[in-house]
Amino acid sequence: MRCESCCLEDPTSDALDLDAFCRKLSSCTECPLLRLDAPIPATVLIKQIERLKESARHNRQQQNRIRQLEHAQRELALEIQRSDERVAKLEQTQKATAQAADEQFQAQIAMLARQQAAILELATPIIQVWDGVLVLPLIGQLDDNRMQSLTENLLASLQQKQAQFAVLDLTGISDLNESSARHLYRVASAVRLLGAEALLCGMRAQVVRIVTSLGVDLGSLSVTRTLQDALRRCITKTRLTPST
Amino acid sequence: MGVRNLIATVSIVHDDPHVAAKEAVFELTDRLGQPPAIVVLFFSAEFPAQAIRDGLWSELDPATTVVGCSSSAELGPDGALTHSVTALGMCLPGYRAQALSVPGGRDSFAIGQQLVESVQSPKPDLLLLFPDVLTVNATRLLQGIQSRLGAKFPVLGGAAADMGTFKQVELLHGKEILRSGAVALALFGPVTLSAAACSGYSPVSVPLQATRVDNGNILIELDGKPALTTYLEQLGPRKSEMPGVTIEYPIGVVSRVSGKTEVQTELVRAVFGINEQREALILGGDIPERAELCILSATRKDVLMGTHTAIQTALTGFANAELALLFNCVSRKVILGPRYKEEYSVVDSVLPKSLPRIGFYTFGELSPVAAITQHHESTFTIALVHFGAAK
Repeated sequence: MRCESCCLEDPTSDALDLDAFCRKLSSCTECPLLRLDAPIPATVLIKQIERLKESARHNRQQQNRIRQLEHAQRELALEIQRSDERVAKLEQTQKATAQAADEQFQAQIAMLARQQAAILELATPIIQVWDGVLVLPLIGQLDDNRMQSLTENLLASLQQKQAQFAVLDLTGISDLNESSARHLYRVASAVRLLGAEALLCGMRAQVVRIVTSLGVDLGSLSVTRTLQDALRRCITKTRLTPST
Repeated sequence: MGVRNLIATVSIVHDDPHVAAKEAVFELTDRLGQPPAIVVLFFSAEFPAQAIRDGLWSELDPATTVVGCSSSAELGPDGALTHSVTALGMCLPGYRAQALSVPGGRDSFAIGQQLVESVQSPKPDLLLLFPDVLTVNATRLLQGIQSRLGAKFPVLGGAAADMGTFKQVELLHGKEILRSGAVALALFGPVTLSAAACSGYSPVSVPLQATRVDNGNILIELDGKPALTTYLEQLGPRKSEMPGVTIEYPIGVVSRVSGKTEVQTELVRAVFGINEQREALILGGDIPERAELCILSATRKDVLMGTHTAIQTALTGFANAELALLFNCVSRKVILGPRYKEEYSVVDSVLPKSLPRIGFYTFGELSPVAAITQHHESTFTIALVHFGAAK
């Protein structure tokens, strides 16, 4: 029995997609149009061929779109691979560069340490100006490191050269902090403990002001105005010494 | 009832080029509602032209006018694609089309003249030209055409490309495949155009004078010194990437405008190769001797900005476009790298959605600037076409 509004003929069924159309058709088991021996009207046939063509076209377009996406995905995968290779290469380069930079940095640190030692050595020269007379011309800032180095070198030289006098020439010192002033005092005391005499000379007014304001007692030390005065005193004392 | 111009573009991606070409015809026929009378197609250089040709002609009407060429990547309705057959199909009632070709192996100027001589009278109204710049000098080819058709005759197109190896391109003229020379489509009927070209490149070197140029495109000396040496000096540390890096550093002819140095973007020349013996640079097109040149470069942003500028320029005051032809230099694809599809996003964002579009990544572009067609390189060119007289 035929429906009153046959989906094969009804123009509104053109709007249905193939899936919906087939579902609608599947309920028409009794329709004489669907009998194998039934002649199908040309209009119905043409309409359905058009529908199939449209469906085939849609299918072709979808497949093309899928291939486009698959190709884009392959391109992307290839690009990711290339990108990974580039990153790996960059990492390798960065590692090598970092290693080289580290080695260079370590070498520079070692060189700096050597240079610092040399500078310290040069910053605390000890000159033997006369038999038994050592002069230490001090210039610039007297920091703890320098004072430490100065003390060690001076005591070693006093012992090594059997010196009787150590003249600490402060002509080149314009500023002195509490720590350095106290250190200077300790140096002089250490010199005395080795049986030698420490003389301070060339103290600028500014340094004297600092020393006095800090309350460091330099009164127990021999102090002269100039290096010349200090040397003269040393020579005089050397002449008076019975052994010379 | 008036007859309508039918224009459609399709892009088919398929591993089998024969099937891809067939499907392109199916799809064009479906979209046009009838078989196309004119087909212009661009196919991936990964595909052999023979398979494309056979697939195409297994479905096309024998009277169809067909021209096409290989490309580095295709521009079509689905964006920028590699591995595709991208085709334009047209049915233009009242219009006539003729496919033309001249093989290479002779003077480029003469090829241009011969191409025009093969055009049936009367004079055509538009020429779509696809030369093989590996065997033909595009500048002189164009000059040959212009010597016969006049400087203001509109020529649009791009140089056929391969996948970036600069070894072999293929051209299609009807059922004939050419591996040198040029193919073209002559269109007879009223055409209105709005074309624009912009590279987005800017100078990265001081201006240098072309003190010796051989054969128009072989740059022998810059500022009296060997051109190759000077070019390498300007590249600095990137010279170690020669010769591949040349694609990123084209040469631009510079002009000085009120004391300032300004690049004439219509005269950008790609460095196609080097001649180590002569210490020369081989350019993709001619440059005038004594011209001041600069080495150019562009960032991704510059490239995209160039594209945007070109499209905006073409769209200004042109409302009735029926087709957009896009010819874009392969060097720009290299600069954009995996993000080359972004350039097409710019195209998509500016062009009307319904406007059919087609083009490809070329080895050189042909587009009018100020109504005179020029041979460009490293440039994005766009031509909006209206099949009818200007209103």
